[in-house]
Amino acid sequence: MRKYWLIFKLNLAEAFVYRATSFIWFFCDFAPALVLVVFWVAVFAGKDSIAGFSLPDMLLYYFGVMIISTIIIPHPAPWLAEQIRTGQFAPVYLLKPVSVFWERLCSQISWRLIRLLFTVPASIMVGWLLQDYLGDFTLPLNRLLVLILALILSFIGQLFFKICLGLAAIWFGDSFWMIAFWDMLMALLGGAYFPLDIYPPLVQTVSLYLPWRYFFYFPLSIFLGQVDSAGTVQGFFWLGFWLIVAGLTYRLVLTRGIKNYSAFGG
Amino acid sequence: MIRYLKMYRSFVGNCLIREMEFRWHFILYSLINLIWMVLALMTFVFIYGHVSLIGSWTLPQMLLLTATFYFFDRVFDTLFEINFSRLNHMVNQGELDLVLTKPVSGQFLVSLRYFSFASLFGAVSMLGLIIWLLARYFWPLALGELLIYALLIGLGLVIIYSWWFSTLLLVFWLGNIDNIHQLFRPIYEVVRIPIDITGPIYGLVVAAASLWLSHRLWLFALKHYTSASS
Repeated sequence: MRKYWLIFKLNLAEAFVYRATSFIWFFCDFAPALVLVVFWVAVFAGKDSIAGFSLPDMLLYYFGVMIISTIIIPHPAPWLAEQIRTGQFAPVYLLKPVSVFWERLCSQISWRLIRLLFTVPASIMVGWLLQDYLGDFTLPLNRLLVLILALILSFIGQLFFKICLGLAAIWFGDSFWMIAFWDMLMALLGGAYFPLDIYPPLVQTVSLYLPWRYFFYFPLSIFLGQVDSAGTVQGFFWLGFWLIVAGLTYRLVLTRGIKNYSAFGG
Repeated sequence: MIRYLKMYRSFVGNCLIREMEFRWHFILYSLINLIWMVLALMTFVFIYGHVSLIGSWTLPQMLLLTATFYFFDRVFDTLFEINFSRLNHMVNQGELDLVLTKPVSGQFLVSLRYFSFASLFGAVSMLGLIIWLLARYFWPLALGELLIYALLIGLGLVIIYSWWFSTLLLVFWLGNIDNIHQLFRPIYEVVRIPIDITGPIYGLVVAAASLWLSHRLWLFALKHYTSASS
């Protein structure tokens, strides 16, 4: 594990040097939810409730989206696809005793730690601005611990799947379209764009059997205190299921991918 | 001017050849682009299932605004965004030297060298939707209104180009920021929300001033360019 600790420290140093890059990614994850807050304030003009949400509920929802989307959405795929396209995949992963998953995990955690430098003060500032609406919001310790567990499992599950999307460049040359497709489904069926409750019942039912709901909406619901004990157990069951599916998919894609991989040039 | 048009035509031709080398990526990316836009529009249909008005905006008006935003966004991506994503690399790898030694405007080359056909597909699809929405919900329209609509989109492109381009110039001072082209995007997404619209005369002044300012900033930034190649 020592080599991964070193990789983590190297990436942490790199993330600190390129903190402007980190800030821009934070801003890209954080700002769209702020835009949607303004949008929903207009939607609620003259309305007390929409799809079971009051205005304070909705603002609290997007407050949660802002925080959670900056913490648990990993982005390993574009970099991996670039390494494959430029022939750098073999020198980095195939000729050295380094696991793709562990190396990417160390990298993503270190970049996210630096991102907290922006997320924490920005969340405090937005929370202060919305204090009239968030007045009753609390996050007791037991719910916080459950939330942390859900965030960790979600992060790992997404990381497995997103590494697969990056590795798909071995077959397709460029997998940007797959990454865009995943991000689209995460925004729509994960609830990052709008709460799932505003969609028709059919869409909500379909989302119950797909991973995006458990990777984003489930931790968000815990954060908001919207799930009871039975819902929490059920959510963790599905999250665990998708985590296993993600891990197995990763092994399959990596094994097949290495057999198919070819690079040219000196 | 004709020289620049001829040059731009050859850039577009060159990009088309490159795009066709990865045609499956082109087709699938275009398709997903389209699905994303349609689903985003559908979301408004769901929201309007719960409310009849947002502010003073009806569903057809909101759909037209959103379709116009996506049309605008895809035109911007087609023409500029693909080029903006390369400027950081050019500055930090010294490739800008090659651009500056050519007898054409450096700003023209870094802004328009590449053309994204995958994004163009989305723009054409949204244009079709805009025409359908106009015909279905807003017809009859005076020719003058249509011309002002088109003019405002054109002026909006110039303004957004100028501001977005200006944010890229930070790389001349701050060094390697490989996602600098993303900095302006969240700010610019605010335009998808209904706000009071300025008139075309005011827009013309802002567009011209923004373009002039972005060019002055480009020239100023070049004075701080110290090349990275050997």
